Amino acid sequence: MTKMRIAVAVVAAIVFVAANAMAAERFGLDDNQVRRAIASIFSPVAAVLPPVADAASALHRRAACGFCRVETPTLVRIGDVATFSGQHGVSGTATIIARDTIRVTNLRHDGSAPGLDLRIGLATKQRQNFTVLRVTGRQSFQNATLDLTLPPGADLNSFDTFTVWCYEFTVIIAEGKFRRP
Amino acid sequence: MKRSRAGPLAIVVITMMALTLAAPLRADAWARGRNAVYAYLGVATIDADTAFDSSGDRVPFPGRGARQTRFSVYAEAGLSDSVTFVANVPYQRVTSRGVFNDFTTAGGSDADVRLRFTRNTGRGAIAIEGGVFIPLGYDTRDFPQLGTGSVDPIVNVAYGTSIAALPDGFLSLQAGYRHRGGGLSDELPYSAKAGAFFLPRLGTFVALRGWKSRGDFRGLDPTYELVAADSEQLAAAAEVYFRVTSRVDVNATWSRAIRGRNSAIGNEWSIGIAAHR
Repeated sequence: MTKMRIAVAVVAAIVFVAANAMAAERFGLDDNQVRRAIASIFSPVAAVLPPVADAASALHRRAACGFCRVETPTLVRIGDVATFSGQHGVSGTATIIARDTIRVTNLRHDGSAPGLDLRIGLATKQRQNFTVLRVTGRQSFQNATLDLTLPPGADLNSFDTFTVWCYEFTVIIAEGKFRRP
Repeated sequence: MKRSRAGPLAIVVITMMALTLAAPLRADAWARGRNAVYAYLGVATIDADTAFDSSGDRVPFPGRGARQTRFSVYAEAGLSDSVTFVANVPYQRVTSRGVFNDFTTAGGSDADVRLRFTRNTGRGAIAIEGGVFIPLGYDTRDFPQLGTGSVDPIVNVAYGTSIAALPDGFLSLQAGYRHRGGGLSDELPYSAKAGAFFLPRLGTFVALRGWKSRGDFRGLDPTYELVAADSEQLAAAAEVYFRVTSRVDVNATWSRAIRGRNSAIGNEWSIGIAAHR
């Protein structure tokens, strides 16, 4: 009898989720509206079989995006921002604009610091071992914008800090940690 | 927004600006005397090989070290029996050796102009000096820097006395207060020098000299700004004079820092020739 109830519930869930996914697309409902609808429909069943509601909700999420790949959490995310300022008039903002690109905006450097580069890594690690994205040398900048491409092997789990580094004297000029804006 | 932590670069910056303190001040406390003139032409060089960090520990100098060479034209002129005009005009060449490249800046740094008022006492001379350090047009964005680019006033008190037990022996003590701009804290320079002419023409002197900035940020997160405002050093020096004639002498000096914080360590050598009338 219990197996029968489960089977009925699962089939009902699939039917309703599919119907809701189509309804969501047809009527432009957002995810929360669909979830509330599912919860109201399944509340008697969920009272008996709580996992059904969760399974139905997860199924809906996959259905709503056309069974796309579900994002797994990463250390930093697209849109995260790191602001930095330090000696030699160095300042700017680094923003993760794609999985493989960091955009630096409002970059300033008065040109007095020798041997600068821009690098990323984990705050807990030595800056010498950070990944170098661009060597700028002694070039001065006035509100410049740079797009920095992450090299192969670097991903959104491999860094949380953006550092302006002086390779001539092995010292941090300025740095910031990526955070949600 | 996150500030950068202090690092070796802060030491480099401080080093190059702080070394200007070791200008060849021959003055001591005594008055030059009305219409008397003293002129000195010298060159000093220091190779910084290690440095004192924020805790006073000796650490390798950042990069591959640094060298500073300073040419000085120094003069004293007696305006009256008790007032002496003092001026020092330095030309410096500073090279900071990075891991891959050398960086050199050369030019006039901070000229030093003072007036000294001396009062003779029965046992010696007491003097008070007032003056300013004047930047000679260098660019503060240069690396290495030749100075802060600010006009820094200084006051100094000095005491000098003869050491009767030694031939032409004397003891000289000085302490002062220098206002510093450009993010540096005000400094308290000091020195003590003693010696004598044990041979008719040859004088031998030993000295301790140094400075202590008023900032003291030990225990705080050492940001660049804090390190730049918190330095000190005590150096030992030995000096030899040789009287070529009654009006001309040459001298050679060696000094090396023996303790300090946020400052450079290296052997400093200087040689010069002085004439007076």
